[in-house]
Amino acid sequence: MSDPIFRLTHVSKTFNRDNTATTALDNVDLEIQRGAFLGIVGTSGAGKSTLLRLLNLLEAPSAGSIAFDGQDLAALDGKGQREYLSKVSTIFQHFNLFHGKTVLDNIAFPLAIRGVPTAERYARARELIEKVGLQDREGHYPSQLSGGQKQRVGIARALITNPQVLLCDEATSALDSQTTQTILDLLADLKRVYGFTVILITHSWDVVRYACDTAVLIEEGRIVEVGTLKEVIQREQSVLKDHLLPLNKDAAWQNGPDTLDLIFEHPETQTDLLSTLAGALGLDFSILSGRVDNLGKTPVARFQVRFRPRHPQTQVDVGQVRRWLTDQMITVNL
Amino acid sequence: MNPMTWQTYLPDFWAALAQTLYMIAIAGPCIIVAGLTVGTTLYLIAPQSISPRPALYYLLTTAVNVGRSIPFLILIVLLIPITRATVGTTLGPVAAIIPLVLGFTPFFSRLVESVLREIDQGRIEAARSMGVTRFQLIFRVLLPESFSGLLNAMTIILVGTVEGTAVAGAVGAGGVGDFAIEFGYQRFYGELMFISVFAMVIIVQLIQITGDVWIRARSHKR
Repeated sequence: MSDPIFRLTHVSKTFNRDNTATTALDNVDLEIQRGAFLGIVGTSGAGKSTLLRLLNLLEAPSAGSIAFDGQDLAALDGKGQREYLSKVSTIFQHFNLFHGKTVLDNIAFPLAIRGVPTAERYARARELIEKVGLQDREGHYPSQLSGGQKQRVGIARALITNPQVLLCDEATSALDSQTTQTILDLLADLKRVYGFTVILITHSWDVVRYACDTAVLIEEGRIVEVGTLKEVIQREQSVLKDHLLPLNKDAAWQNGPDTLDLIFEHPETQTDLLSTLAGALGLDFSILSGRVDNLGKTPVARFQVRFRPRHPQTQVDVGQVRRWLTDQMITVNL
Repeated sequence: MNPMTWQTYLPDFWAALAQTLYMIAIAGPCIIVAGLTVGTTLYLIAPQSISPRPALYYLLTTAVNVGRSIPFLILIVLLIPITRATVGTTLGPVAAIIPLVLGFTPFFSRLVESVLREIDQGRIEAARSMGVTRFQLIFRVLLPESFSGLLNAMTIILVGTVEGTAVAGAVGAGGVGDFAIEFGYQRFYGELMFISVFAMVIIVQLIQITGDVWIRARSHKR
């Protein structure tokens, strides 16, 4: 069942600058599943960029090993590396297009350096220009394009070798939120068409919520938590979940023993269950805080609910409420 | 009465102008090719650069500094044995080529190195992440991406070379500089001095304007 495209085993990366060693990655173990839309999230300096640079061979690990499709990256020779880099492409935060080349030549460049004949590589480049929606722009230079258009060129250039993996290094961080969405939509569309795996590093939880199906949280060079978004929201305790579905619940009045923090994976039907529950167990309830976020295109709700007995003399049996909710597939957070 | 007027020497002026243009035409491309080679090497082997060779870098950068610190006039004299051994004479425009190339290559190398350092590191990383070879990185990325800056550096060095031909002229290389000293200064033909200076100004202007126009035409490729 598990078919990882990347397997990182005890990977560490230390930089030596001016006689001081800084550890960017510290004993990282990670499996990346084929076909995932993976978001690697962390604050700046957490090590996520370093992780990506190990995958596109801009850096080599100080310790540990990285396997792509079962093949150890450290064992690749020059030719093997070139072949590998045609299967694993990168797009960048600042696009990194060649300013002296036209859109067409930028996109065709990865084929040009592999000796593909001009006519063939231009034909393939034009195909991708159409796919990313830059018709009539092929003769333009990067300085004549907007940020969103530049990233479209970057995506076309990355995809021209027909890669199995697309690495995105903060690919939308230099774009406004509207353009970010269209670029993420484009990535999702192209992923559907070509079937590649996306590994996206970002500091934006919005990007993860919008585009990713799997997330990795990395802090100070270590992996804090990994999981598909579906798994993560079902965990009773999860840092990833608290970032994906943040809830304002720090005030003392919000934290009584009768208050439960609930996640509804199917809010459109499950939220009704609260009244059903109240009726069945003879309780009243009030919602102290809550929000509905879209994970991908699916809404997920997180509510903080306080339960009160209907008759003043009775008590709320929190354990009973918990069991009832869990039976209805509602996650009760710790 | 001396029947000679300054016009008498105009044919000598044209011959001198041809010598100057000849020196620039031969020395200029040699300086550019040599400087691009040395400058690119300096850039690549610098510590923290793409293929660091600190010891070699130190050696080369010292050689460049030494080359730059010797005044051109003294360099010509120092090079007399080498010039005689290779060209067979130390007089005439052909003999001036060797000191011109050795004198101006170090400065141009330094210009090339600094232009290459200006290239956005991201573009180089993008190219590396696509699997370019070292050769492709130099000829398909580094030099094309910095071409506007290199044109500017070439303009500067060619103008410098024009000046260099005049200095070399004063010590026997011929050319407009030699002509200006011999006829304009030593024989008191102010007109010839003026024409000589005017010719130098025109040559420099032509080089500078060509460079500027070319760079402006590439403004959208920067």
